[in-house]
Amino acid sequence: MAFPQPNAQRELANRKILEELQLKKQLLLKQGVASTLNASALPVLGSTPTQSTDGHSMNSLQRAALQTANTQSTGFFISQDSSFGNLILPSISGFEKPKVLLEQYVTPPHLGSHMLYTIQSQYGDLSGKLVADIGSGCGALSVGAAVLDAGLVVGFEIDSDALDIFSDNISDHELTNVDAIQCNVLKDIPIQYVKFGKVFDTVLMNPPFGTKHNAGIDMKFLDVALQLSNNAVYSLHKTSTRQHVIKHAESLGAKAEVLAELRYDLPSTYKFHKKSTVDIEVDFYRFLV
Amino acid sequence: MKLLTHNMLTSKCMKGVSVGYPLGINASDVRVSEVDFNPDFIARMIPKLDWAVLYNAAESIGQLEDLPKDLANNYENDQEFLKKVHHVLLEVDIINGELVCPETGRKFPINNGIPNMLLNEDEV
Repeated sequence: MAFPQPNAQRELANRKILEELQLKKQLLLKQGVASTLNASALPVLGSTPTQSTDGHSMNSLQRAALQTANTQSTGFFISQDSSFGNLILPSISGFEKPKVLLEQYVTPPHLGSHMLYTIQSQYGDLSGKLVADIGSGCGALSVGAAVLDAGLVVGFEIDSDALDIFSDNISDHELTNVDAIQCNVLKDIPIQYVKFGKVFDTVLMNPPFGTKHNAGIDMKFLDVALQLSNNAVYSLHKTSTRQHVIKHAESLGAKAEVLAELRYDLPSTYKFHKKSTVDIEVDFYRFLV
Repeated sequence: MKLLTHNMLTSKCMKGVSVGYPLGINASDVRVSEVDFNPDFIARMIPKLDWAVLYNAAESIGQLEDLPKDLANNYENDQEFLKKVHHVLLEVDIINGELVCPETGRKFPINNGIPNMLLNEDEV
């Protein structure tokens, strides 16, 4: 897609960010797809706390706090100022007026970028792949996948306002390997996946987790994702629903693997939220079709 | 919207539509933007394409250039051919226009590069 040019100042800032991204990409290339995760990447449950080998600068107090958090909890904390997070998803604009009905939350950049880094470094499922991002929102995952050299990323989103921001994010990062389709993912996804087999290699999603009113909506997203992918689906689901998610995936013939347990640090998005931030425990999944 | 995306789009979710493929294109604004050339990716995409649909789509918006009407033999190693396919699949971008359902004539607007495939309740 082509979009209106950003202003000159922004362009300069973006160029700087892109230069840094290139460095990170070279690092990825050097490490190769098969290399094991180093401590700075996303550890699986029970592994040792992070070291700051990814070069981000934390003061000793922050590091101590992070290590304490890691040792005292079964969850894994990613430091908010992780330089990797800021590198891959440097400046994504979020929802201007989030809609509670669509459960619009921005994927936190540090979390999204660790997801994407793992998907590429561990499994090589982004670079040179045809990638779908369903329920893409403002495009946090789409932008990251495009930066990591996906052949083409196609975002699927119902909401016009989110798509406007999606477009701005794509043009701000001068990405040309991204497309978007406005559609209702759960009702009328306009993709033909029967005639030529499933077309997408990798499907990414950060689905609505579901509330009292629409319980199970994330499983409906999973159904669609598994129909689109010929290889792998990466997704986030609430840890409290783990047994159900694994069973559901199995009933669809897919193999579910929990790659990591994360703390989804959800900043207060809506007026009815009483606390300023809420930690939600979520699992980062890889589903093999 | 790129022609790779167009190649997999259908209107078959509409009530009374059986195939809904391929969607016609009326383009009012087409741009060409440079995309990194990844020959492996293109070679992997080709077997998934409906070649005739790609050819006709490119022709209908005046972006055919010298894309061959038939798939080349041994295209995996034909860099020149893969480059042409790359250009048509990824670099040609429909910014404004509309897609047309082949069975009902229903039009889907394309604005700012994004086709709006949302259906009204009475169309599902």
